[in-house]
Amino acid sequence: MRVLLLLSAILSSFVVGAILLFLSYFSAPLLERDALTNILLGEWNPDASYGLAPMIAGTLYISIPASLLAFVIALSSAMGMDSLAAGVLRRFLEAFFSILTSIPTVVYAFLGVMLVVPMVRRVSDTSGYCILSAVVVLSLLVSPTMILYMRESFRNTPKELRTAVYALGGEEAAYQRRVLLPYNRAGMAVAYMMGLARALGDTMVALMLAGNSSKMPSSPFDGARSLTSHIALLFAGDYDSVEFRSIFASGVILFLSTLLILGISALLKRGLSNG
Amino acid sequence: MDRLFFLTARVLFFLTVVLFLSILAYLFFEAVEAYMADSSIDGLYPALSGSVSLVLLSVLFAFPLGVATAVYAELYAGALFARVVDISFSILAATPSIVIGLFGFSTLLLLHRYFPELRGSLLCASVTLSVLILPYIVKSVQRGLRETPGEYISMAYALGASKEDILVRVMLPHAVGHIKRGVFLAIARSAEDTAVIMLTGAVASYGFVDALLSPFEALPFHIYYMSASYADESELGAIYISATMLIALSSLFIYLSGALSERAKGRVWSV
Repeated sequence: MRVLLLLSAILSSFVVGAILLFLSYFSAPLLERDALTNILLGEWNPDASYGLAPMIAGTLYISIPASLLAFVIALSSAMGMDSLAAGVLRRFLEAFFSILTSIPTVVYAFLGVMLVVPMVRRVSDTSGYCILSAVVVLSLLVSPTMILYMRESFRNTPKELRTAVYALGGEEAAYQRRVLLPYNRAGMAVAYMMGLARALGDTMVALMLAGNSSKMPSSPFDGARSLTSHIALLFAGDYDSVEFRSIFASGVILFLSTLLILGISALLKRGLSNG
Repeated sequence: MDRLFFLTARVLFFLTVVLFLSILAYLFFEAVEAYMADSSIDGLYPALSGSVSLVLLSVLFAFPLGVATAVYAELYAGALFARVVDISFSILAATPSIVIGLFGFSTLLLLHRYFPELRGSLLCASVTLSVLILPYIVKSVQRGLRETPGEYISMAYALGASKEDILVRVMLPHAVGHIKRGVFLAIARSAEDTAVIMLTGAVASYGFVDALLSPFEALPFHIYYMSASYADESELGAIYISATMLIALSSLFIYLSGALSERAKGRVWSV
């Protein structure tokens, strides 16, 4: 039995290594053809150059504003929940936010097509499929995840701290701003990084809302293509083309960014935690 | 200053809750309206059959592997290997699902050289999905095993039980609540994912699931595909209905996972 257990453990832990290995193997022909700097910094032009710079920029322009917006939403919600007395309302909201984390991303994206795109179309002279629409919807998608992480961290704050502030004549506002937030800076940083990872890795919102243009975006009303939607869009292509190989390179970049985010978040956790 | 910050946060909190509630209400009412207007709901059953098969198969593949991995890491592995398992599942849990889908697809490309008739299929998609949900199962089993009270274990040793006996008769029964929670989370995750299945065999129209090695329809892919190509009000209505179905499914399992873990905690003291 022990051997069987060992084999399963090896097999399942091997998967992470295998992901990187397989993706690198399939993107190798692209590296032979183009220099690495060209892939990372070059423009996308299927006849001549397979640079992923517009997709990398698209990914960043969509995920960073979305995660910042989500952080503001999540922080105010987590603070609000923290002040609520235990009771029906808090239990309802607790359940409500955990159900929100389970709403499929494709449903968020569909609702974005129905509700956000027409609004953006009205205020701008564009089709409405642009960075701005994707950012708005993505921030809503990411915020419940951040709320969950922040709640977890806030809940572990010692109760005496609030009592102490009240005893000194402080109010809830002073407690939250001066004690709760500084005390939980590590938890908040981790929540942000996890939200960022989710925003960076999301496919459906960018694919269905951002317009998928492979040009370098220059305004929030421009269309853009994220690395994730680049994979989804080229997937139907010719399997042997160099163009097709670039989806594996996109996969490698996404995987390495995930590692980077996890690394930074571990460092932040250690650097910012109390004592 | 603190006041202003505090009030802004409260207003945002209120607006956030109202916004999310109204989005859900909008979706729900559109779905009810579409249902009343007799939208072509029959078209959804093949996609539903595909989604259910995907969930069942992926949990079937991931569950034994996940439990075995967690048990080995907690009970037998040295510190180094246990750490490797820990780190690799943290990475896997944070890996974008499209990257996991791409991994499934590249495995298929490799296998294709030896088995030319192999293509994107229900089997391929559910194996890949099982990679996606493996971290949920491993982490929850690990937590369950770790939380077995030390006295139970020492008591069992004192009674002469072997390590395997303790695992099977003390630790695993104790971990049932956590394991269920992990499985429910895994179900919700595999039901909602779109990026993995779009790279591993989901198609817009195929019909009811009939074979492991054939393409299939699924609810999330159906929503994605139809929202770019619906032709009339009735097809649009069908998207609202399938989105509501999908939310109902995944929130049911999320709710079950939360509720059960609470009850499981209570049970510890009433053994």
